Amino acid sequence: MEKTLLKNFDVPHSGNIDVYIAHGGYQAVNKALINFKPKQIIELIKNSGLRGRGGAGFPTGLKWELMPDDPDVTKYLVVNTDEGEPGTFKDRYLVEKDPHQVLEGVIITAYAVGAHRAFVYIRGEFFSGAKNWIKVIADAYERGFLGENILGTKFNLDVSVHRGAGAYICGEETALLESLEGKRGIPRLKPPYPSKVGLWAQPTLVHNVETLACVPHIILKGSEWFANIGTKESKGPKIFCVSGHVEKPGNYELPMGTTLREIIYEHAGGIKNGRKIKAIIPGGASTPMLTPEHLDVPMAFESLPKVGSMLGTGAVIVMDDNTCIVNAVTHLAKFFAHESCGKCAPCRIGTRTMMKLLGKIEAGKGRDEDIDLLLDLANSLRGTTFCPLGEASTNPVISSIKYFRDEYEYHIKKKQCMTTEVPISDKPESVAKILVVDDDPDFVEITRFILESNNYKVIGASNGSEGIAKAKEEEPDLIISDIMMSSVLDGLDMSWKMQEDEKLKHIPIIMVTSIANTDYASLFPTDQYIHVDEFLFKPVPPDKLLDAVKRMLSSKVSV
Amino acid sequence: MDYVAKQLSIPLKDVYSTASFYSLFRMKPAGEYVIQVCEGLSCFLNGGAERLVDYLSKKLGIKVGETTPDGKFTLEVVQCLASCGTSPTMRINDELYENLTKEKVNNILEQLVGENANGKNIIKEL
Repeated sequence: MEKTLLKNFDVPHSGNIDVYIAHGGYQAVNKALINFKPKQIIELIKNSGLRGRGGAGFPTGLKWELMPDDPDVTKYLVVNTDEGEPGTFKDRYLVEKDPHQVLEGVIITAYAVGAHRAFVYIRGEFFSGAKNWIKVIADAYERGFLGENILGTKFNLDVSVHRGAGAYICGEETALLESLEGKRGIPRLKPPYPSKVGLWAQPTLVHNVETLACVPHIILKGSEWFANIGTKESKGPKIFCVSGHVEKPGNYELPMGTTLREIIYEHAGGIKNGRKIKAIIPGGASTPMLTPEHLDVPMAFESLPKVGSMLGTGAVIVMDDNTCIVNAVTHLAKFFAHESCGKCAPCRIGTRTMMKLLGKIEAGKGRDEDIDLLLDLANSLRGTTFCPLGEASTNPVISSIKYFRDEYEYHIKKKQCMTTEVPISDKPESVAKILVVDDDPDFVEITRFILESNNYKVIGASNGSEGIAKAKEEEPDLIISDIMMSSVLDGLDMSWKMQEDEKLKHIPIIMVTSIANTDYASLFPTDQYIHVDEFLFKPVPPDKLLDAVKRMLSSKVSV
Repeated sequence: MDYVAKQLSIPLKDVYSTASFYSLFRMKPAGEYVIQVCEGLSCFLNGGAERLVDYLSKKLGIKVGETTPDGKFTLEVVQCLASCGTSPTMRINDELYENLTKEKVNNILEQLVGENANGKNIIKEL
């Protein structure tokens, strides 16, 4: 498909107003302000079928129509650049790479609804985006696209930038308005909707960046062009943000209704390292996850609910078959617990309790009944909060239990991830392998139990020669060995032999002994034949053992 | 906060309530460079947050939320930075760093330390 929204992304310096105008910029503003009356523009947008791109998908034309058309009422337009939905990175790119396109949308929208004051609310974290907005607005003032009597018409518009201070909830329109007024960003009760009572109690229109970016193109190419792209209820081009385990993550502009299969395999290059898909989140962290059987579902407002999910922001997060679902969902639960504003008790307490329960299951401390408890808790959050955050936080939990209940059960019963048992040949950072050598089978078994409960792989050997043979065969990341063994080769002999072998000499060794009255560390400080990294004394407390193991393995940290 | 409350003639509790609500407002001084590692889902899937934080905290000798004794670096974990396509990601002050690898992190830290030679001893060789 011909790129529309992303057409200037490859143009160098497209944020420069001269470059932008040279590529056909500000023609839409010209056409809209000179050739159209505000009512005609609203009609045009209604006919185009444009729906909000921020997640809710409310019809844009209808939203505009809901604004009072009394010219004496002060009306505001707010640009929501508070993009923070995990998986979504389209608005930041639009503002960084083609900000004038969005500003054109702002000017035309303000003209259509009769707003003379617009505010850009941008996430505090988007520093370069905020800088861009300020520059772009200043340039537009200079060229007469903003200010008084724009392009010689009677239309006036002032735009200013307001930086947020770090709160995901401020992407919700009423919380954003509270924040813009200088208060805590907590959502308001709806109704009244912002179109009646918004910023400083005046009618206010709040729009997502991508929605506004669509507006100039509809003005230039017509509502029919827009309505001919996409599906019955979802029109126009859409930016899909693809991330996670794909070969080519990025923003892809495609018609509404493109299937997940086409997005993932044709555009994003398929799954990394040729692996298989386990789960897909189709519209950002707030939307329920899907499985490979849903790959042929069109990405549209009307088709995703049929399979129990939502289009959301169109942010596709792909997880391969090596992903631990419990771990991933625990991450999301942490996000929602962190970002819950605390206003509604079900969300404030619910998100935290879900996070704790998931954390418990993830750490192998879950109980059988915890899965149903999670479901019960999640269901109690639905429909009981002011804003959609509470309900959104339950989506990953409920959907993952629906499709991957076996993984939760595995975590609870076996106290480890299902995925660590899948042989991972193409991933270098697999579980650490530890060789335990002792002629006392009890010590080997106890150590094996401690290490395996902490997700290490353990190989046992009963004497020095067997230790060397196993080390050659298995190439462990660490060796834990007894010093005195009733065999031909004891621990120190084994270490000595290993120093002569190129492959084995770099493996760290922890020596364990029950003879605690000897200062072994000072006995072999710089011995060039015997190589020992650490001494531990029996009985070894589990935490001491794990500490030493972690310390020894940490030299292999890879990022 | 006292000053703001007086200037705006609003109760101190309202100022405190607002200041404590947002993650970018701080109640105690931070280091010269605030390192914020993204722990969003996409960064996590691409080996971000956990390993990156571990690595940084070993290298700087501080835990998440702490500042190095010389006041140079503060290590924080933050939610999605909207760079999911170029994960793992971190932000240092107002600069965004994407597609991070161990080498890149080392270079970035060296560059920042290079601006002030006194800070060199705090970065451990790993």
